[in-house]
Amino acid sequence: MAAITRFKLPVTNLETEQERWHQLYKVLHEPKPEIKSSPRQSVWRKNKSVLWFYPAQEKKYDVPIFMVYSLLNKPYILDISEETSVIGNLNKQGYDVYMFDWGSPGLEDKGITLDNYVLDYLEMAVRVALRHAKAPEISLVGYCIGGTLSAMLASITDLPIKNLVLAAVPIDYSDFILPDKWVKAMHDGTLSLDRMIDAYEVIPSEFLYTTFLALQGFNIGPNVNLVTRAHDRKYVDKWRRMDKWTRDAVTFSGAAFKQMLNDLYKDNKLVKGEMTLGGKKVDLSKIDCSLLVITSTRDELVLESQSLPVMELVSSEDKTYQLVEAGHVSICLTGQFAFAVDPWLSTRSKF
Amino acid sequence: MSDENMNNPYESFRRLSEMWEKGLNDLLIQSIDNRELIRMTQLGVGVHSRYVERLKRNQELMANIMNIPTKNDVANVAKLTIQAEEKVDTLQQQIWSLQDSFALANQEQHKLLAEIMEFTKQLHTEWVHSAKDLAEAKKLTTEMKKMRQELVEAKDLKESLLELKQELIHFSDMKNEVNVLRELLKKEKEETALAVAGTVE
Repeated sequence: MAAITRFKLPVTNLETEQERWHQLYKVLHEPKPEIKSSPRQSVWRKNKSVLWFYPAQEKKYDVPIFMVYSLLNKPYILDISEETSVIGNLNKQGYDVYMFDWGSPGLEDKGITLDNYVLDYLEMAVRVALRHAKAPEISLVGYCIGGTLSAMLASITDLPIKNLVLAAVPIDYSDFILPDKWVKAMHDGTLSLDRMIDAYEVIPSEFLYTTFLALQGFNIGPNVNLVTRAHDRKYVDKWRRMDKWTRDAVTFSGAAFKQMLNDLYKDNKLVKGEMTLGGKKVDLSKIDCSLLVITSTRDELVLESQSLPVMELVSSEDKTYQLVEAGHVSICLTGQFAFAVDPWLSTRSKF
Repeated sequence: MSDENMNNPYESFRRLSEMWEKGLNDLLIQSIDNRELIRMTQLGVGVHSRYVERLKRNQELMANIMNIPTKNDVANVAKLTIQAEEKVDTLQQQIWSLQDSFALANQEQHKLLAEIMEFTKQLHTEWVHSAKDLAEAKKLTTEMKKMRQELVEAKDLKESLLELKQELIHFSDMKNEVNVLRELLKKEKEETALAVAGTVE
């Protein structure tokens, strides 16, 4: 009798179901949504990379924000829709935002190394942004690998970086999301992709997309979530944008990929203080500006233990660590990143 | 029917799939975490790399025979553009550094000009002061000359006064002599009177 009372009848609503299946049909048959960016202008271009400027709706802060996204994905996740745009929300809060789009390298860029990315591209872009903003100082906000590159730049440059924000940033590669034996094989060189990288010269976007899929294992969550919440138009719209971004992968310069795998994943040079860029030693203890490190509770791509060591490695006196209830991508997709950064940055963005 | 007895089947489906996903992923990680698979992967990567290398070599060979450009040729041309762009960037940086130097020089020039202006202003004020002082000094000189003249005149006067004093002394002496004479005359008169009186008796 008790078993009968615990059983609940599955009940659905006809209107909801009609909407659900209509939306699912749209997802399957309609073209991917067009993603419109917030008002912006290009300030500087180099090769395939572009420096975009997003002016504040009503400027409240003197120090502009310079956003550096990962080399592995396209940066429009930071401005994916009007409502949830990270950049749009920062503009609304009164910040001028510069965003550096690395672009997707072609065969002619096979020789671009991390040295080039940091010194010839990123440092130059920050210099251009400072000049364009006519600001004496700037806040550098790096996400994922973009955060790693930002930390590298902050430790070797003489540019006036007032604040450094690192979100979901891999710094320590002694452990990462692969199973233990695979991590060990990468460290001791049993597993090496050098020859394959040399053969490809430029890593195809399909390879990176497949790698991401493989790293996530059985990842049916997003599809199940879509079916469960397909009656909610807003959710479906968000899902479609996310789906488009996930499939819209970039290529990766072979030299930079090889350097990343060997210097970071294999030898963990950044934490050991053995990394050099353009002949300069990357010493994270030289970072003495205000620092905010953000990690997400549900991040399945970058472990918290990969970000945390940076707190000890820098010499900044003003440093904050923040754990946000989000996933690696959802922190940007929902626009949550802007609201996580604002309270800390607002008190440090005036001359 | 009350809500307590109703159930959203999609929610149950989601929960069930989450459980399955987690379970399958744990199983997957356990099953792939072995050295044999890593060795196999390394072997596969090697074979695949050799295949790609050979494919590219043959593609270059074929394209060369057929005289058609390959992606490498296009990349080489693109590299020239990138090099030109880099040169433009270098030039831009040099222009910026020149602009900065000019701005700095301008700033210093402005500072220097402001200092010169300030100095000229001070000089002008000093000049006005000096002119005023000079006028006063001239006036003083004139007055002094006048005083000197007056002093000369006073000297003459002093001399006259001295002469006058001398004359006065002389006059005083004369007066004394006159008094002595008057006294003598008076005495003589008395003696004469006494003499006359003695005679009469």
